[in-house]
Amino acid sequence: MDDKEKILRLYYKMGSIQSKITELQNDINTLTQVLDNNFSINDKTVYKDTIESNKNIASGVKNSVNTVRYYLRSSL
Amino acid sequence: MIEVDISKLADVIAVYENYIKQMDDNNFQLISEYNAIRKYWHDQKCINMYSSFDLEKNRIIRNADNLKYQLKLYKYIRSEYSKLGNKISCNLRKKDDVLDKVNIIIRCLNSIINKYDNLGDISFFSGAYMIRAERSSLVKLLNSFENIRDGLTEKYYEISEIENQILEMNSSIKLENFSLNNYESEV
Repeated sequence: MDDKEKILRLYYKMGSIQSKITELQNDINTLTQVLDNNFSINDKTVYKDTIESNKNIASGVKNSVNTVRYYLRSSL
Repeated sequence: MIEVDISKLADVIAVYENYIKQMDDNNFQLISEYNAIRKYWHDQKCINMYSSFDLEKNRIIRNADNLKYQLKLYKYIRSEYSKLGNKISCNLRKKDDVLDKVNIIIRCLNSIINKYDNLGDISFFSGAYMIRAERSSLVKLLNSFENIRDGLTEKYYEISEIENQILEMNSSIKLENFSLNNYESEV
């Protein structure tokens, strides 16, 4: 397998990861909504801060994946 | 939906404690008076009153016991829920739904990490370090959501246990209204 083919394969694999991270972000949002309406302690949704922080991490990973894909595409 | 406000509950407990103290004083006085009357009043007319009053006395004592038990229940709720926080709002019926949503996230994260593990050799790519950092972040996310799932499971379990205990205690409380009206009209 030559380098170009390796890059192309990695590019598509990272595309699959990108889609799954979008799915993950939607799942986290759904959890936030369910928790917001159903479980709070001291007027604050349980684990709100942790989940918000996790959302930011997921978003950071997604941005990184986008960048990786951009680099891969540029090197083709 | 379970709604508990420990501050408000503390106010209710204070009211109950005051009321029960007053009630105990009054009951003690009332029963002492009754016992005193009983010593000095012995004729046919008083027999009906004595039997009515005996019934009322039992009801008064039963009512006092029930109120004390109710106070005990409120104290139990305060003591147990305050371990979780000052104000708790929880829909136990949504427990499975919430935990299911967390498990979906955990499955999704495992699936993504698995995809990273199957990328094969990425050393040819100058940005490989970014890919490794992404995987590492996702592992942290996975640990975090596993902790959230365990924490939620524990909290739901604690609340269920408290609620079961409250139900059990509640079933043994039967408040009765008492009144001295009948007795008073006879007198």
